[in-house]
Amino acid sequence: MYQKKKKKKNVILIIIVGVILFLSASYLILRKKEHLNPVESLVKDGGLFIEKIVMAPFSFFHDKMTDQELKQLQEKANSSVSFEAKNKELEKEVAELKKSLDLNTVLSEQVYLNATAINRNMDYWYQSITIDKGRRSGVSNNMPVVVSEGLVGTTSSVSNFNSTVKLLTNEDFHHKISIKIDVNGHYVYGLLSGYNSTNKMLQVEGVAENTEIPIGSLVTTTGLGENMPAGIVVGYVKNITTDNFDLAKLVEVESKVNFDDIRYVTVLKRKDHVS
Amino acid sequence: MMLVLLVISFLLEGIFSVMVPMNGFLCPLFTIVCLIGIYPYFKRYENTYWKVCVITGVCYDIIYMNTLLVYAGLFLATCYFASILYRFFQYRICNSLLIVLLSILVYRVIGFLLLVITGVIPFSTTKLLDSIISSLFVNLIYSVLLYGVLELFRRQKKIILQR
Repeated sequence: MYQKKKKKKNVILIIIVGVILFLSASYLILRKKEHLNPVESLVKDGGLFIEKIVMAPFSFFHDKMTDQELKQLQEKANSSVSFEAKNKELEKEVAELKKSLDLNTVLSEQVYLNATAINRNMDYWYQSITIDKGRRSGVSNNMPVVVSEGLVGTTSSVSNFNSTVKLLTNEDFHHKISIKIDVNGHYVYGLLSGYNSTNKMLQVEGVAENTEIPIGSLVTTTGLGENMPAGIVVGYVKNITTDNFDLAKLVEVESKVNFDDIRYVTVLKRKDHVS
Repeated sequence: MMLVLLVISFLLEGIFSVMVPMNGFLCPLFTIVCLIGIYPYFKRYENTYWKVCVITGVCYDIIYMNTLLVYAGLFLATCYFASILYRFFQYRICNSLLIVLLSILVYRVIGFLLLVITGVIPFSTTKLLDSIISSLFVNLIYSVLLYGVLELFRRQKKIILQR
């Protein structure tokens, strides 16, 4: 009887310890999953390569049907990404360049890399896609990914031939992106801090309380940061509220990107980062 | 045959995800559905089945999720739950559907709680319900197809399933 009780106690203890260990390991793995080690990278590339082979017949027919549409989209992605904002951006930068002749590159100069989504949102929670371009194509972590309508997300977990794109709609989006809001020709700066899945709006914080921002103002990236070029369209101002302490404005931004159907994307590299 | 089905389901899950809207109600979970579906055929070799679960989970972790052992654990827990259910239900299509349904429920709840506890996502009952509802439709259809294929195979090879 005593032996049986002891055995039961041991089993419960082992289960509790197991659960704690599993949770701790999961915490560490889920929190630091941006970098892949060589073995993970190899397995991931191998698996996705097989998936691409199996997918080839499906892709072939799909591409045949949408060939024209694809060409138009790629042209669009190459030329009209942030087109509207870029003009204004360039005008301002040219003026600044006149003052500083030593400058070799400007923040808005970009190199485009088109990619195809090979799987999307594998588990419901992550809001991410995998693209078929990786380190070998010059992709590194935290590079901006866009479609013709604007910014989609940033790259993470880059392997040799594939990368994961963390979408802006990801609630675990910890990389704050520096943005600016175009208010009648002058800019108001802020930080893109997250996504509200309830009203499907991007959240911008750090905007000064005393500035008037009209609804519908264009929101673009500033280029202040390591990888993000300037002038990428993020969205348009939809609503303005204040934070809990009435100290700063919280701006809600509506993105024109259809996050439900992302097939082809463009990875942007800042020109000063291209060797 | 079982392993071939598992590999096909694994690859199909990735391919299918590109073809359907991202946040729609067709969220594929073909790998876990296949693992649950093939359990009765592994009843005599349970140890092999658990090994297959862990290996599939690890592959799923690395290839699709960029994690390590998280989904292996999740797969193992869900399949263990399914194996308990198989003790109470006979291997029939309706029972099989019920087991898949309950297993998807458990898979989603455990996955959700794990991500909430580790602080990856905030707690939201609506989102949890959404995730369960969005996973049911397509996966139940897939489990019916899988049952059909497995039954065909069982009759051809005259396999007698252990109760």
